[in-house]
Amino acid sequence: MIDYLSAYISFLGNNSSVEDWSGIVHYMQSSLLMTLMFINIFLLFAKNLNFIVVFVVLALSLTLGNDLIPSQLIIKMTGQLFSERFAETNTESAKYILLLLTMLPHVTLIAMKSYRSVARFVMVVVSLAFLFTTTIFHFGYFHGIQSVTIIEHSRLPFVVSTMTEKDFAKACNSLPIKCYSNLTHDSTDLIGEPWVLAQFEKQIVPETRYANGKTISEPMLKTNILGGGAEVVWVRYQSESDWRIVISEEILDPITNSLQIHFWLQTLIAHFIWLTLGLFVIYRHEQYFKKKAFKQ
Amino acid sequence: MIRMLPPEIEIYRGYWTFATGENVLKTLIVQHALHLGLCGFLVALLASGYFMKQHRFLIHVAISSFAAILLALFAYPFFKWVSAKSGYSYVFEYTKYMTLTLLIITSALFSVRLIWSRIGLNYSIVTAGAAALVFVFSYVAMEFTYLKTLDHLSIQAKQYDVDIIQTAEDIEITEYCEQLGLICKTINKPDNGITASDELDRRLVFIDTVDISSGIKAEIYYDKWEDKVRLSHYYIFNQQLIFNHSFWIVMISVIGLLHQFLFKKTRSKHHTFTASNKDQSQG
Repeated sequence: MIDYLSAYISFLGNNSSVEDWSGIVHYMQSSLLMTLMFINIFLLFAKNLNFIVVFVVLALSLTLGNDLIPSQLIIKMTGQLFSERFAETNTESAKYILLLLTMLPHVTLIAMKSYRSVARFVMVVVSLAFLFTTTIFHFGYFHGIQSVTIIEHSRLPFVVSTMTEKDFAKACNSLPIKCYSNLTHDSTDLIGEPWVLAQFEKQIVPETRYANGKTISEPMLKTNILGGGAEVVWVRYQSESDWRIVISEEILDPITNSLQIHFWLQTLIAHFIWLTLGLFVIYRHEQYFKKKAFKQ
Repeated sequence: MIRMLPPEIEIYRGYWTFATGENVLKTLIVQHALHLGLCGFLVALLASGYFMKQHRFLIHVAISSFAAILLALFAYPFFKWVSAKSGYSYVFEYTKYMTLTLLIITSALFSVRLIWSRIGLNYSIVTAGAAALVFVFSYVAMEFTYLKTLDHLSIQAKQYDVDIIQTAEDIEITEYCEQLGLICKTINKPDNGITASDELDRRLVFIDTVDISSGIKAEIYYDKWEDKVRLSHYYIFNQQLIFNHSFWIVMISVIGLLHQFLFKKTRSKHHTFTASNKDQSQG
């Protein structure tokens, strides 16, 4: 067990392997999501589910994958319609907005007796399960684990930023961190990190605090949701012409990789169970109704 | 200076403060009692399906909920007592085996009915059994992802903190260890350090022995059981278990109730699997 775990831990440290695998898992999960959306659309026009349609839709979703939905466009439009804040959200949420839109008419339909059917009822339940499970996992991974680990492992760049010149140079050379020193506010464009630069431009840097008489900023936390992995940035302000910046570059990579792949994997498993269970229930009910009609 | 931190950071910090705060141990015990109650719900639902001749699913749900609340209420003081006497790790292990045993028994009884006597299947037995199978699977999978993997990764990331202590020359070891959240013990000879037989060792994970300056060594430990980060992992794991499993229970209960409410008049009077199988046998 421990050997498997060690192998898995070293896999999580390999960014490109994790990227490849989570890409595959994400693709499959998106296909399931789209299958459900198309079934919902089909059920707007038909009261009962035709299983040939399910297979066609599944094959279509698996073949075309993410290309079927213009996520960027939907997010942009949502941003324009409601608030600018939506325009900055993850493009994945576009798919869930669409799922919600395809599910809502069915809620009205099953409330009316003449439009009610087992297939519509089951698909509303499955859609709700998709939405809730994704929300729960999202909070668990990206607001739970990420917040705890990112803040816990922010100690290292903090300690490095407070070191003496000699130790600072040694630590920066030997550890997987990025360090900058002797910077002024105007020379921050030397930092090749677009995210850090954006924070400087917005002046989201320092509420200063004091450690051993030195002025240190609060950490800037880049979350995994923003893409490219999580990072912690500490800024130490010594004088106008001497700013130190320490970025925890690769330290958090295995943790953010694990968040990414586990999130997609858990979502895929949960969605697969709910969708197959829903389809099975519809199939059993159809069989039952057919037998009943045959007897009558 | 102007404070302009994005709100997300504030949320993160708030979450971290709670998950690593002093009250987290109490919360963990409540979480364990709640989760045991959720598993108790499934056992009670299965039992009601086995022994009650009642066709109204609402009655099954009401009785099972009552049993679940009772179980959670009795479990809480017991877990509190175990935690005070032997430590939180024992509560975790106890609940793990209690929960898994209950769930495995439930799924086994469901499987027995499913394989050997399908006539006796009804909604309570099917949902309780299927949910128990999902609970067992998700418990094992989530323990692997939220606890085992995460603990290893946290310790791995801590290794960099140890490397700093080894790299730096002009440092005050006690101050740095405190800032990095480590337990450091300076020793003159390696064999004078904390050994495996030490009382402390039960809760400490040895990371490394490092040379901090000429002739002086330090042993670095990562606090295992009482470490705030590890407890926070437990907190997140339990929270996810409770969210996921209560979601399942709410869904199966609501589906059953709505099914009886919405389709009652379009189906046979007491539609259970029993009824459909009777129909088949008669046909």
